[in-house]
Amino acid sequence: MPLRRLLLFLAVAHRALAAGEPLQVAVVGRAEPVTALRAVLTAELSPEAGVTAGLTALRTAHVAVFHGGPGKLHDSEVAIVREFLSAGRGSVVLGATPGDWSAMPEFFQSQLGAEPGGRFAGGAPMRTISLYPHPIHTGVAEFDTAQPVHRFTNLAEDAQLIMEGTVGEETAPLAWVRRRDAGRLVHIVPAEGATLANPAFRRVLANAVRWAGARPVPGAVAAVQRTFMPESHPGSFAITFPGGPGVCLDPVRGGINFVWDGDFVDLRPRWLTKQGAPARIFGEPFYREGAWRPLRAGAPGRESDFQFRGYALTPAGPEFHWQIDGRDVFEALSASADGAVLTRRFRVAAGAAPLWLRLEPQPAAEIAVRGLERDGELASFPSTAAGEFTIEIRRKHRAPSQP
Amino acid sequence: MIAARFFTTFLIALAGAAKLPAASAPVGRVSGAVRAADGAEIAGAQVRIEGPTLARLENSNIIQKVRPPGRYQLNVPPGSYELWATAPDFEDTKVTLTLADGETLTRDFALQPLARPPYRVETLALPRAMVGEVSGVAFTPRGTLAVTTRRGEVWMRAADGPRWWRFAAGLYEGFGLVAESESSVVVIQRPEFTRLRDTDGDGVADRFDTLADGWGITGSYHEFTYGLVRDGRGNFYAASGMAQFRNAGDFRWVRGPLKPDQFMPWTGSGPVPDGHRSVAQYQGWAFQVTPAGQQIPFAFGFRQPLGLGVSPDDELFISDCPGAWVPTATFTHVERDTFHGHPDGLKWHPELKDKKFTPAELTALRRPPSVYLPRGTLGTSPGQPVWDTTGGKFGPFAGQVFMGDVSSLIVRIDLEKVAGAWQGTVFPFLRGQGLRIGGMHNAFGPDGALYLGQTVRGWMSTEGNEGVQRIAWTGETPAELHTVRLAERGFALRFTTAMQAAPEVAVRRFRYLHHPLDGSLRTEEVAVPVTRAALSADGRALSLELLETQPGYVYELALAKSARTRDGRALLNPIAFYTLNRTLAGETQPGPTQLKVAAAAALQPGDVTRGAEVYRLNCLVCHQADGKGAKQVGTPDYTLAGGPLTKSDAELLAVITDGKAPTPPGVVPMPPWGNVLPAQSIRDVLAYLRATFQPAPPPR
Repeated sequence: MPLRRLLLFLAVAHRALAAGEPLQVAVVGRAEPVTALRAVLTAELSPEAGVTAGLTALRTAHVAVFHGGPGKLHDSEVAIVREFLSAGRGSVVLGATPGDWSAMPEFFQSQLGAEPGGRFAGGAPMRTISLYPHPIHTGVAEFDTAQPVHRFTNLAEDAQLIMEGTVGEETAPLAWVRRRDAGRLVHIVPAEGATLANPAFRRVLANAVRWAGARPVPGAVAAVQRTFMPESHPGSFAITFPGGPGVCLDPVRGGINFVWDGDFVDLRPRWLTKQGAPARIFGEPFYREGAWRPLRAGAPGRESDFQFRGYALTPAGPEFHWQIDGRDVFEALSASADGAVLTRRFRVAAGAAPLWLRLEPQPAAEIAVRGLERDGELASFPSTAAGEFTIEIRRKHRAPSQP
Repeated sequence: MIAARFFTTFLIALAGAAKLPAASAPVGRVSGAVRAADGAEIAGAQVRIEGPTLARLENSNIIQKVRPPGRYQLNVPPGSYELWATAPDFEDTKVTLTLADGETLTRDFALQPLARPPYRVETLALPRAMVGEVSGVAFTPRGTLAVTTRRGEVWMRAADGPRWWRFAAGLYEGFGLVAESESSVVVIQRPEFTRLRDTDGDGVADRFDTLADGWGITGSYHEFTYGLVRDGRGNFYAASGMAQFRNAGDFRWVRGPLKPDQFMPWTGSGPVPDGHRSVAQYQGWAFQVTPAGQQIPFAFGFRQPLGLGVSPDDELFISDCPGAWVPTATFTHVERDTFHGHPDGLKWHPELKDKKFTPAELTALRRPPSVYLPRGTLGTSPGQPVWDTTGGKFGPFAGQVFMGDVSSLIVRIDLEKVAGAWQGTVFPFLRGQGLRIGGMHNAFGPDGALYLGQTVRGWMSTEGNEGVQRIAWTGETPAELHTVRLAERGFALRFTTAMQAAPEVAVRRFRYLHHPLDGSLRTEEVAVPVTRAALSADGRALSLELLETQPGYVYELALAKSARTRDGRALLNPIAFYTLNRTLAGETQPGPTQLKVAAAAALQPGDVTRGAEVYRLNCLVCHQADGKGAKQVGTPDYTLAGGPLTKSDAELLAVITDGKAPTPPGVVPMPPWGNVLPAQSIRDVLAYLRATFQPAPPPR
């Protein structure tokens, strides 16, 4: 990332994250929808955000909402938009059209990460609209629209599809996100007419603005999905926290196989074809372990009777239940808001023997323990009485970003 | 579940739709039109071609959509085939044909419309956020519909209206459920049985307790875990299907031990005909989980045990899908420790895992299916069986079994206990009227309607039409065969309504081969003369006496289409198949038969010309055009004095039919052709061998 952009990004991010400071949102596009959108965003985001209409608002905005696109622009206006799009700030694009980006035709490839096409399914309404787990969908059970949409193809590798429409056996991307140094981007395809008044759309839009501005989405909880993950036993858990990280927990091996710097897992490879393929993660793992049954009872070299007994979903995150030589162990996962720290909090019932954990060396993460006696790669919970202990996995540095 | 056969079918169908292969690959073409009898185009028509040359593939048939304006074209290897044309709301129509290399045939179909049964097929509207891959259907005691989807969700639909809500998400391919209440369901997902509970009353599950997970999984796309049902004592039942095997290196992340080698290695030529294999623990087994949570490996020998059902008498039945060792779809009574035919699961049996079985020993161990479902007329891959306990709300079939199929079909089964074992009859029940494909799970609702969950995912095109359909009876009595029961000298048939006169009934019997090839053709098929038919005074019972009634066969009863009820209606489904495992006296082995003689007499003497073509298509590669065999394969020289052709016809027919282990230095066994070639073709090819290569007269 060029130094100038980095400094600008840090400055903006610092300002935005300062306690109590409203998120500045600029709404850009054709006059009529912009007016409506401004009203929607003000209603949905006030007082956490200030919403201003017009191109010049981009200069101070943390997040821009483009309805269609900026339209016809003078050279000086193009410079404003380009500056915004390269400054590490957030963009929410609603129903981008080539006409609305005619002054910046490179926008689709470089920013949106997709190629626009004609009407999807001849303009037929969607039969199904799938909302894939993402904080942007917080509070939305169903997204409905009768609006015909454009088809977008050739999504960039890092474009994470979060909403998909189906007509017959054809599918079309309806919303996707990108996390890049140049800023977070959300594209929501259906955003015309009556859709703007749809409560689900308004909620998605508001959440998209928050996410693009790297603000927490109120009420967002970890998504938990059992699937076939890469480098894991089938039936492993993909756990993605709203601000990251993503966790692959393998109930067969009995531990966390990897933690990645991201907030999303793409299940479509598993779902959309008959043979399927492991789910796809977005982001780089910064923690990995592979030892068989890292949590044991009695002695570290002795394999225990190990049972996975299930899990519970709580607002803070999932809590998993293991039985190790009959001793109940509950492991609650939670994450810091910025996704840099994963906390494994263990509640342990009384048992006959001490518990042992193997903590494998991690080049990209620091491991801190509380309530355990640590000896190199081994840690023990010596008490046979009920108790608690914690393992904290902290990312040492941000993993390399997507291009 | 839906077997891997459909994928291969799809690929072959694609190939069939493409241009003819290179000249080196023998191929013929059949094409034509499929239209209604009145000449109109038909929506949703398909053609299906099946025959011996396809039976050695993982798939044994090709299904192709008929394209506008009602045309089809199939390219297949030379051989003899049955070609079927099917369409919703039309009668299946079949022609037989023989194609030579490079030959092009035209076969047009004019389909007759099906009589409409008095059942409505309605499609339930689904919420926009629900992908309609419905893999399990159940009702809570209060009447709330609960379904699992292959996307790992559980949805509920209010008993009093169309409101749906998502009860749970995040599961790994839920495939069936028992709905205990609006706040508790037990789901079978690929890796485990899980009880899902809503503990805070918000309508969404927040606790997921693992009840059992004691079986292996590999990540193979085709290792489905089927179920889920519960008996009156609170035991749950599920079953694990076999994985699709390509090579052992595919299985890097296996729960439990991995055993990739076949329990009974394939000894035939070419690749293993059926890629389904029990590579992980207890694949091909059914499990019981007791109320105390103990998982018991319950029964074994399944291939893809797609449908599990518990009868009102608390007995477990399972349907299996055809392939190796499962000759056609089956429906079987399952008890603890019973073996059901596929040997690969034996590798996980604590006492039998090291035993070497002969085919005869396998047969002795195998519990025969209670009912065979002949492929085509009775579907391809059967789903979950459910018993009509509606007390008459679903029509006049109380106590009978209804079962969906991956094709758009519902079958009906009537069971009877004969000499202590269940066997019975399968009838077509419903197809057409908008019934969709993929109906693998079903349940009767509190309204007496049958709810069918449908999912296909990639096996066939659905145009997105998956989800839930409701089958409701209109109240009019359907004109149907109600039951076919075994009698002392034949069968006792009952009708749902009085018949005008005793219908003519054509009876045939046949059996299937349980062998490692992919499915089985009918064998030993023969007409069974009806010696007496008497209709009761009330017109509802037909006593049918046969020349003989032997165990060990499937009996096809085809009633004349001209048969009419007293109110002038034709029978909706004038065909039934009774699986006769046991006679009323408890005999399970056929005795001396008059029909065997008749069957043999029905075969023509071998025809040299036809035999030459059979030889060219099937034998020439190994045995060579000059009959001298191939040294590298070890095939014998027919032309030698004292060679194979000095054996009797009976011996040679047996070798061709049943195969033969290699004689050193030969390394390749003679494959059994009895599954692949009709008996007449085997006679023909023997005639050709004798006429062409015979060095000396055969011994008398």
